[in-house]
Amino acid sequence: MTTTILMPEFTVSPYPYFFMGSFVVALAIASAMLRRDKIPTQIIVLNSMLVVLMSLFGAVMYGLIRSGFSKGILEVGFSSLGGAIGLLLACVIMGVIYPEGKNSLISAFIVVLPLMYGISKIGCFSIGCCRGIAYDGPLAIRYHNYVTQTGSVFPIQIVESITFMLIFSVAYTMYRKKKELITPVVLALCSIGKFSLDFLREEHVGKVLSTNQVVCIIFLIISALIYIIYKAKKGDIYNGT
Amino acid sequence: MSEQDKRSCNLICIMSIVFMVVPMIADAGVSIINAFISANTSANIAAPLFGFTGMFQLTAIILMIVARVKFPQSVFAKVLMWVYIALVVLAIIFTILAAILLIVACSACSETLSGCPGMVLPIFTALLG
Repeated sequence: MTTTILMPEFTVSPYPYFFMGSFVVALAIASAMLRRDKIPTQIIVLNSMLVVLMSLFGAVMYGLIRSGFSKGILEVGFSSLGGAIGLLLACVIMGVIYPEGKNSLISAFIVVLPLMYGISKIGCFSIGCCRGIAYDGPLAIRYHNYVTQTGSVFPIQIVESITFMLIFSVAYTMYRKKKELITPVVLALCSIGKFSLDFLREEHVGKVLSTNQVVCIIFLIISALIYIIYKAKKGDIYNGT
Repeated sequence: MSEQDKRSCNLICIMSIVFMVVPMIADAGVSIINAFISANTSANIAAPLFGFTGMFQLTAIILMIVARVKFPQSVFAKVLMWVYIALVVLAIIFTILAAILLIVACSACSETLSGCPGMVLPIFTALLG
């Protein structure tokens, strides 16, 4: 027997609460991590400001660029991948301005990135955006609100949310154990996770590779390059370790 | 702080102000021109204009951070930092207020619109614009 979950129509959309909540939680955890690494408060505040603004800008610009500027700002919405690009760029820029804390700034936000994505996906799940392919198996979802009226669809947002929360737990464990190479490992895990799960999204239907997947491949190449450069600098790569 | 440092810092701060103010003027100018030409063209211009404005203003904030980090003793950079922080905080407060008003107004007009994801978008476009 299959169970279809009927999503209720909310009186007030819960999406903005999850969206803003993801920022609040991520900034709180990243700030605590940076304090632990003895980064000055002023740098943490300035970095947080830059991260928020560049993530929001990236989230909107990604959609606009993908549409070739043919759609309006209100039509494209927010792209999580664009937000991630903005966030990473902000950390890299801050790392250039304040080189003493470069590694801490980048690794703190790389660790919280999957958590932000996981939280914001619950918001998507609640209203039916970024939904999955048509599906009528167990735990299929049916939306019936004014904007999204669908048949049974795969609950991809929840699967993505759980996957990225797991990646966050791996990343945070690596950080707590002071493991090296957090940045390339987490970036690679996120890219592989997003690339694989994108096949189950409705907007992927009829495409061989979506734009998101192409960007994921670029991220995967970047993480491989970071890994190779790091190993080469340490001399390990020549020793085969 | 040496005279040379002071001059460099002031130059960065002035560039930051220019990068912050120029897109605001351009934005206002384009809006006025648009209103005279045709209301229909505004949608086509809005997206590239958003990109132009956003990039300039982010550059302004990055320049302020450079000045603040490289020249911590500079009063100009310190004042600029607090002005920008105040602008961002005000933008967030007004955006949230605008969003609440919008949601309440739309809910009063039509119950079916209240769960619309698009309702949240004006919050952030206002914040970034």
